[in-house]
Amino acid sequence: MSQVIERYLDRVMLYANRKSEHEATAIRDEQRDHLMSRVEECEAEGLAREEAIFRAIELHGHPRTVGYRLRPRFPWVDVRSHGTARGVIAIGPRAVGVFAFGGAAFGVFAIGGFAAGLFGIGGFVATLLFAWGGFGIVPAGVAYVGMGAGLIAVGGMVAGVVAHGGLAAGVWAEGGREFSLYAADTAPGWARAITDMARDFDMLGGMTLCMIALFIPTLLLTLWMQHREQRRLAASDPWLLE
Amino acid sequence: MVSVMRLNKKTLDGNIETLLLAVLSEGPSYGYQIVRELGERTGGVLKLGEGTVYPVLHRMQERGLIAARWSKGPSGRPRKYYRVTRRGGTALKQNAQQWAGLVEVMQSVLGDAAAG
Repeated sequence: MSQVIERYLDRVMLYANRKSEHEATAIRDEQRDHLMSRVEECEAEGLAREEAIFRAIELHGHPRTVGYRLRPRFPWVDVRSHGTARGVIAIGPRAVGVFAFGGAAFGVFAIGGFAAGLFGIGGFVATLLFAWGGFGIVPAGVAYVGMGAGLIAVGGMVAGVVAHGGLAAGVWAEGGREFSLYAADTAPGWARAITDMARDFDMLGGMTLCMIALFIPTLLLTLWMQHREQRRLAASDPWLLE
Repeated sequence: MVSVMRLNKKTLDGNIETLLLAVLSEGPSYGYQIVRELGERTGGVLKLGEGTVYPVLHRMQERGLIAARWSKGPSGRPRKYYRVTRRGGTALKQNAQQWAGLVEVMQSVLGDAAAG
């Protein structure tokens, strides 16, 4: 048995993050068998033992790539430091999940620099039902954004079927400066209710409240979980193929 | 020429399972042997990251396309052998037919351009 291979496998399994010991052992045994078979073949071709081991590891792949792919397909929680996290709760540079948090997040509830899905919060948000953030596009719902468009759009510079904002354009629009096809008070009742709420609500106060209630705790949770993942990974030997 | 052709990941996506099923349809095999077999049959054109074959095999096992059993290899190490299930056999047949159809269609459209 090779110590180098065992340390490589340690690292693979660290990324694979299998909770079940039985599963982890089976995966490890299978990977070990593959690596040792390759080592034996390389040795038969004339490589020295050490060279053969490193060749086998090189052909097997970076431990992060191999390990991440060996993770369960769609776990409850998937936190990654690289690549795309996929899970019910997904946290990573890219995240795909029911609740997705990341640089680019795709999910039912997506929070990130770029967020896409049904409900989203972020710098740039493209969602179906609700968006809150800097820029947003919401074709079938409410965009509550600095700049954007939606079925109902509320914010700084907005366009929509119903629009309310500093600069608003739409079928029924009202605001500091408005471009409206019809008078805003002729809008359907449900739409007026939403824009009335936006008008009566102190926008800045509302945004601050939203920030405190949702965004900051989520951000902190995301950072904490990523930090925990980093610490877990850092606890192993970082030397091999890094 | 096939020998200099580079197959990128997108070309392979969705077809690796078919290739694995095809190799396994000839008899039970284990990961390392499967990787070697694929490499040899494609003249080295198809080079998979060796460690990345296993997640695909595990997924196929979860979906019932292949089954696995452990036994001892010649060196005494535990070794996992895979074989195609009935479901996998059906999937292989369907995929192979689709491929044949696709190749025929592509050939008829590309004509000589495919050879050049």
